[in-house]
Amino acid sequence: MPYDIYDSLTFNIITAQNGDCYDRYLIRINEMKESLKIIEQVVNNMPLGIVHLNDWKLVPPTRDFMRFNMEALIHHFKLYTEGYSLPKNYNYMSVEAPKGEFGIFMVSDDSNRPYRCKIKALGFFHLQALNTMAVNHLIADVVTIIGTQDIVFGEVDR
Amino acid sequence: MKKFSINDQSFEIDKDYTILQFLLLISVQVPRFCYHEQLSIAGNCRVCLIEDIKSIKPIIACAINIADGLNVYTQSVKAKKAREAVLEYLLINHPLDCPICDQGGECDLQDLSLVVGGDK
Repeated sequence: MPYDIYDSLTFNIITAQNGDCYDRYLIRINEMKESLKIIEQVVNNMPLGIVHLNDWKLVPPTRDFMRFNMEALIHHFKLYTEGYSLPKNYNYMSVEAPKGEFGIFMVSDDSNRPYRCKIKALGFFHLQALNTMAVNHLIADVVTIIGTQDIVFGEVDR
Repeated sequence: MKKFSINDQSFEIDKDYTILQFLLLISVQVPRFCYHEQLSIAGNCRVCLIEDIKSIKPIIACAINIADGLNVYTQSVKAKKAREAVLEYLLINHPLDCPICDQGGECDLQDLSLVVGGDK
């Protein structure tokens, strides 16, 4: 599921064969190097011009407009105090994250606040593998395994 | 018996209704400022403009009675542009007071500006 401009970028997908902690360390380091490549390509190919949408219904106008334009003032005021009201619906969207697919499932109920918001955080799923990964290892190794899984425990709670 | 159509949907009624009253009955949203069920019809805010196929200019839904053969559109480009222009006139001399106004946040003018107002 390539999104944004990922299909027009060139980078390598880093893999390894042994599946141990050192491999995961190498993958992490090499992924950082690939990230630098991506950043360089994106920065060099960034189009000129304004960066956000010129539609006051969705993006609040800049402060310059608000000094003389009543519509701009109203839209700015409403978007910052009330926000958007979305009709009843639900949606799941995901973006890439260093550890996989980071997703958010949201339900709207015709108001400006979500009725339900479920965050699919990666750390939780990686932690499930800890049991299998630590078989026949020492307790002390678990520390390294958790470390190379790169888990944020705050996100496991979600 | 009057036969008429609203947004390509056909209706038949016996009673006398204004267009806006009937639109409220069938839950079609049309913006309004000066119309109120309990008051006599003023028809001066002109924000309830809708498109009538037979007339060159858009008509106000609140003050015109439903007649036989009426054919109106509430969300056509012409109607939307007309409402947008009316709202622009209302706001053209409005003071820039929203941040310090007591009504700010529960203001009909603000609400309508978001729904039918211009976006640039």
